[in-house]
Amino acid sequence: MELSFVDLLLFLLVLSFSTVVVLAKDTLVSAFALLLTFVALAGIFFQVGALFLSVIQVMVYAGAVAILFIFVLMLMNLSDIKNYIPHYNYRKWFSFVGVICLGFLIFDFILAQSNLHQDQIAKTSLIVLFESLFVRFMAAFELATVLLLAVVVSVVFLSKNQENLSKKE
Amino acid sequence: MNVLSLYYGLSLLVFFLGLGGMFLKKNLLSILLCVELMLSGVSLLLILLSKSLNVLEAQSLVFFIIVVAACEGAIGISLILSLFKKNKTIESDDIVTM
Repeated sequence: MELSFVDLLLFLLVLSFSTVVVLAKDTLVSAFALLLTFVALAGIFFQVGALFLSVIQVMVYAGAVAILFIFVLMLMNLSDIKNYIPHYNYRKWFSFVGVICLGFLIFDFILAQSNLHQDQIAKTSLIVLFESLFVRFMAAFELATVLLLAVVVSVVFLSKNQENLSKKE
Repeated sequence: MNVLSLYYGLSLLVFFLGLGGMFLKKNLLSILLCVELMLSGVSLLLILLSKSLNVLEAQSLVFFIIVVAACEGAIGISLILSLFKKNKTIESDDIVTM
Protein backbone atom coordinates (compact mmCIF):
# COMPACT_ATOMS: atom_id res chain seq x y z
CA MET A 1 0.00 0.00 0.00
CA GLU A 2 1.45 3.29 -1.10
CA LEU A 3 1.22 6.45 0.94
CA SER A 4 -1.53 8.82 -0.15
CA PHE A 5 -2.55 12.32 0.86
CA VAL A 6 -5.51 10.99 2.87
CA ASP A 7 -3.24 8.68 4.90
CA LEU A 8 -0.87 11.52 5.70
CA LEU A 9 -3.76 13.79 6.66
CA LEU A 10 -5.27 11.17 8.98
CA PHE A 11 -1.83 10.52 10.52
CA LEU A 12 -1.35 14.20 11.27
CA LEU A 13 -4.89 14.60 12.61
CA VAL A 14 -4.60 11.65 15.01
CA LEU A 15 -1.17 12.76 16.17
CA SER A 16 -2.20 16.36 16.77
CA PHE A 17 -5.49 15.55 18.49
CA SER A 18 -3.91 12.92 20.76
CA THR A 19 -1.20 15.44 21.68
CA VAL A 20 -3.95 17.91 22.60
CA VAL A 21 -5.57 15.20 24.79
CA VAL A 22 -2.38 14.93 26.81
CA LEU A 23 -1.23 18.54 26.83
CA ALA A 24 -4.51 20.45 27.28
CA LYS A 25 -4.92 21.93 30.74
CA ASP A 26 -8.70 21.93 30.55
CA THR A 27 -10.22 18.45 30.85
CA LEU A 28 -13.16 19.38 28.65
CA VAL A 29 -10.78 20.34 25.84
CA SER A 30 -9.03 16.97 26.35
CA ALA A 31 -12.38 15.18 26.05
CA PHE A 32 -13.25 17.03 22.85
CA ALA A 33 -9.80 16.24 21.43
CA LEU A 34 -10.30 12.56 22.37
CA LEU A 35 -13.61 12.57 20.49
CA LEU A 36 -11.86 13.93 17.40
CA THR A 37 -9.01 11.41 17.81
CA PHE A 38 -11.57 8.57 17.79
CA VAL A 39 -13.23 9.90 14.62
CA ALA A 40 -9.87 10.30 12.87
CA LEU A 41 -8.85 6.79 14.00
CA ALA A 42 -12.08 5.49 12.45
CA GLY A 43 -10.88 7.03 9.19
CA ILE A 44 -7.59 5.12 9.53
CA PHE A 45 -9.49 1.87 10.21
CA PHE A 46 -11.47 2.54 7.04
CA GLN A 47 -8.32 3.17 5.03
CA VAL A 48 -6.74 -0.06 6.31
CA GLY A 49 -9.83 -2.08 5.34
CA ALA A 50 -11.46 -2.72 8.73
CA LEU A 51 -14.77 -1.17 7.71
CA PHE A 52 -16.97 -2.74 10.39
CA LEU A 53 -14.58 -1.68 13.14
CA SER A 54 -14.45 1.85 11.78
CA VAL A 55 -18.25 2.03 12.06
CA ILE A 56 -18.09 0.57 15.59
CA GLN A 57 -15.36 3.07 16.46
CA VAL A 58 -17.56 5.99 15.47
CA MET A 59 -20.73 4.58 17.05
CA VAL A 60 -19.37 3.18 20.32
CA TYR A 61 -16.15 5.06 21.05
CA ALA A 62 -16.94 8.49 19.61
CA GLY A 63 -20.72 8.35 19.94
CA ALA A 64 -20.98 6.80 23.40
CA VAL A 65 -17.73 6.75 25.40
CA ALA A 66 -16.36 10.19 24.48
CA ILE A 67 -19.80 11.82 24.68
CA LEU A 68 -20.27 10.21 28.12
CA PHE A 69 -17.01 11.80 29.27
CA ILE A 70 -18.13 15.19 27.96
CA PHE A 71 -21.52 14.88 29.68
CA VAL A 72 -19.91 13.94 32.99
CA LEU A 73 -17.51 16.88 32.74
CA MET A 74 -20.43 19.18 32.12
CA LEU A 75 -22.44 17.71 35.00
CA MET A 76 -19.60 18.37 37.41
CA ASN A 77 -19.27 21.98 38.35
CA LEU A 78 -15.62 22.23 37.40
CA SER A 79 -15.23 25.82 38.55
CA ASP A 80 -15.67 24.56 42.13
CA ILE A 81 -12.66 22.31 41.80
CA LYS A 82 -9.41 23.47 43.30
CA ASN A 83 -6.67 24.50 40.84
CA TYR A 84 -9.15 24.77 37.98
CA ILE A 85 -7.46 27.21 35.61
CA PRO A 86 -9.11 27.89 32.26
CA HIS A 87 -12.19 29.97 31.48
CA TYR A 88 -12.82 29.27 27.83
CA ASN A 89 -15.81 30.23 25.82
CA TYR A 90 -17.23 26.73 25.38
CA ARG A 91 -19.65 27.82 22.68
CA LYS A 92 -16.64 28.40 20.45
CA TRP A 93 -15.32 24.92 21.24
CA PHE A 94 -18.71 23.35 20.51
CA SER A 95 -18.89 25.12 17.16
CA PHE A 96 -15.30 24.15 16.35
CA VAL A 97 -15.84 20.46 17.16
CA GLY A 98 -19.20 20.42 15.36
CA VAL A 99 -17.72 21.89 12.20
CA ILE A 100 -14.79 19.45 12.30
CA CYS A 101 -17.11 16.45 12.84
CA LEU A 102 -19.30 17.60 9.94
CA GLY A 103 -16.16 17.96 7.82
CA PHE A 104 -15.12 14.43 8.81
CA LEU A 105 -18.55 13.08 7.82
CA ILE A 106 -18.41 14.75 4.40
CA PHE A 107 -14.81 13.59 4.00
CA ASP A 108 -15.75 10.01 4.91
CA PHE A 109 -18.67 10.14 2.48
CA ILE A 110 -16.38 11.25 -0.35
CA LEU A 111 -13.83 8.61 0.70
CA ALA A 112 -16.53 5.90 0.65
CA GLN A 113 -17.69 7.03 -2.80
CA SER A 114 -14.16 6.87 -4.18
CA ASN A 115 -13.46 3.47 -2.60
CA LEU A 116 -16.43 1.53 -3.95
CA HIS A 117 -14.06 -1.27 -5.01
CA GLN A 118 -13.66 -2.00 -1.30
CA ASP A 119 -17.11 -3.63 -1.29
CA GLN A 120 -15.65 -7.06 -1.90
CA ILE A 121 -12.93 -6.56 0.75
CA ALA A 122 -15.62 -5.44 3.20
CA LYS A 123 -17.74 -8.52 2.53
CA THR A 124 -14.87 -10.97 3.04
CA SER A 125 -13.58 -9.17 6.13
CA LEU A 126 -17.09 -9.07 7.61
CA ILE A 127 -17.64 -12.78 6.96
CA VAL A 128 -14.32 -13.69 8.58
CA LEU A 129 -14.92 -11.35 11.51
CA PHE A 130 -18.41 -12.60 12.25
CA GLU A 131 -17.35 -16.22 11.86
CA SER A 132 -14.58 -15.71 14.37
CA LEU A 133 -16.86 -13.76 16.74
CA PHE A 134 -19.87 -16.05 16.66
CA VAL A 135 -18.20 -19.42 16.11
CA ARG A 136 -14.59 -19.48 17.24
CA PHE A 137 -14.79 -16.96 20.08
CA MET A 138 -18.43 -17.62 20.96
CA ALA A 139 -17.63 -18.20 24.66
CA ALA A 140 -15.65 -14.96 24.84
CA PHE A 141 -18.49 -13.11 23.14
CA GLU A 142 -20.97 -14.46 25.70
CA LEU A 143 -18.58 -13.51 28.51
CA ALA A 144 -18.43 -9.99 27.07
CA THR A 145 -22.21 -9.72 27.32
CA VAL A 146 -22.05 -10.96 30.93
CA LEU A 147 -19.34 -8.35 31.60
CA LEU A 148 -21.55 -5.59 30.18
CA LEU A 149 -24.45 -6.75 32.37
CA ALA A 150 -22.18 -6.81 35.43
CA VAL A 151 -21.02 -3.28 34.63
CA VAL A 152 -24.61 -2.03 34.32
CA VAL A 153 -25.52 -3.62 37.68
CA SER A 154 -22.41 -2.27 39.42
CA VAL A 155 -22.92 1.26 38.07
CA VAL A 156 -26.54 1.23 39.28
CA PHE A 157 -25.32 -0.07 42.66
CA LEU A 158 -22.68 2.67 42.88
CA SER A 159 -25.16 5.42 42.06
CA LYS A 160 -27.69 4.04 44.59
CA ASN A 161 -24.94 3.90 47.18
CA GLN A 162 -24.16 7.55 46.50
CA GLU A 163 -27.81 8.47 47.02
CA ASN A 164 -27.87 6.61 50.36
CA LEU A 165 -24.67 8.34 51.46
CA SER A 166 -26.00 11.77 50.57
CA LYS A 167 -29.29 11.02 52.42
CA LYS A 168 -27.33 10.01 55.54
CA GLU A 169 -25.32 13.22 55.39
CA MET B 1 6.93 4.81 2.03
CA ASN B 2 4.57 2.09 3.13
CA VAL B 3 1.32 3.20 4.73
CA LEU B 4 1.34 0.40 7.27
CA SER B 5 4.76 1.36 8.64
CA LEU B 6 3.52 4.94 9.09
CA TYR B 7 0.47 3.69 10.96
CA TYR B 8 2.60 1.31 13.09
CA GLY B 9 4.57 4.33 14.25
CA LEU B 10 1.36 6.23 14.86
CA SER B 11 -0.11 3.46 17.02
CA LEU B 12 3.03 3.39 19.16
CA LEU B 13 3.02 7.18 19.41
CA VAL B 14 -0.62 7.23 20.49
CA PHE B 15 0.00 4.49 23.06
CA PHE B 16 3.03 6.21 24.58
CA LEU B 17 1.33 9.62 24.53
CA GLY B 18 -1.46 8.04 26.57
CA LEU B 19 1.03 6.39 28.90
CA GLY B 20 2.94 9.64 29.42
CA GLY B 21 -0.28 11.53 30.01
CA MET B 22 -1.36 8.95 32.57
CA PHE B 23 1.76 9.65 34.61
CA LEU B 24 1.77 13.42 34.07
CA LYS B 25 -1.87 14.28 34.69
CA LYS B 26 -3.26 14.86 38.17
CA ASN B 27 -6.93 15.01 37.25
CA LEU B 28 -8.59 11.58 37.53
CA LEU B 29 -10.82 12.13 34.50
CA SER B 30 -7.81 13.16 32.41
CA ILE B 31 -6.07 9.95 33.51
CA LEU B 32 -9.12 7.98 32.35
CA LEU B 33 -9.01 9.81 29.00
CA CYS B 34 -5.34 8.87 28.64
CA VAL B 35 -6.18 5.20 29.33
CA GLU B 36 -8.77 5.38 26.53
CA LEU B 37 -6.07 6.83 24.29
CA MET B 38 -3.76 3.92 25.12
CA LEU B 39 -6.52 1.43 24.30
CA SER B 40 -7.05 3.16 20.95
CA GLY B 41 -3.36 2.81 20.18
CA VAL B 42 -3.51 -0.92 20.95
CA SER B 43 -6.64 -1.30 18.79
CA LEU B 44 -4.89 0.35 15.86
CA LEU B 45 -1.82 -1.87 16.34
CA LEU B 46 -3.99 -5.02 16.35
CA ILE B 47 -5.80 -3.99 13.16
CA LEU B 48 -2.49 -3.25 11.46
CA LEU B 49 -1.05 -6.61 12.57
CA SER B 50 -4.15 -8.43 11.30
CA LYS B 51 -3.74 -6.64 7.98
CA SER B 52 -0.02 -7.27 7.55
CA LEU B 53 -0.07 -10.88 8.81
CA ASN B 54 -3.35 -11.49 6.93
CA VAL B 55 -5.07 -12.88 10.03
CA LEU B 56 -8.48 -11.21 9.88
CA GLU B 57 -9.66 -13.03 13.03
CA ALA B 58 -7.41 -10.72 15.04
CA GLN B 59 -9.90 -7.93 14.35
CA SER B 60 -12.36 -9.63 16.69
CA LEU B 61 -9.92 -8.84 19.51
CA VAL B 62 -10.43 -5.16 18.75
CA PHE B 63 -14.14 -5.72 19.24
CA PHE B 64 -13.42 -7.08 22.73
CA ILE B 65 -11.08 -4.15 23.44
CA ILE B 66 -13.95 -1.78 22.60
CA VAL B 67 -16.23 -3.69 25.01
CA VAL B 68 -13.62 -3.52 27.79
CA ALA B 69 -13.00 0.18 27.12
CA ALA B 70 -16.71 0.94 27.38
CA CYS B 71 -16.95 -1.00 30.66
CA GLU B 72 -13.84 0.67 32.06
CA GLY B 73 -15.16 4.10 31.10
CA ALA B 74 -18.55 3.50 32.74
CA ILE B 75 -17.12 2.11 35.99
CA GLY B 76 -14.36 4.73 36.12
CA ILE B 77 -16.77 7.60 35.62
CA SER B 78 -19.19 6.34 38.27
CA LEU B 79 -16.31 5.92 40.75
CA ILE B 80 -14.97 9.38 39.96
CA LEU B 81 -18.45 10.87 40.35
CA SER B 82 -18.86 9.26 43.76
CA LEU B 83 -15.41 10.51 44.78
CA PHE B 84 -16.32 13.98 43.53
CA LYS B 85 -19.55 13.98 45.54
CA LYS B 86 -17.67 12.90 48.65
CA ASN B 87 -14.48 14.97 48.42
CA LYS B 88 -15.49 17.82 46.05
CA THR B 89 -12.32 17.25 44.08
CA ILE B 90 -11.04 14.92 41.38
CA GLU B 91 -7.36 15.74 41.79
CA SER B 92 -5.44 12.56 42.54
CA ASP B 93 -3.13 14.36 45.00
CA ASP B 94 -6.03 15.55 47.14
CA ILE B 95 -7.79 12.20 47.43
CA VAL B 96 -6.40 10.18 50.30
CA THR B 97 -9.25 7.79 51.08
CA MET B 98 -11.90 6.11 48.94
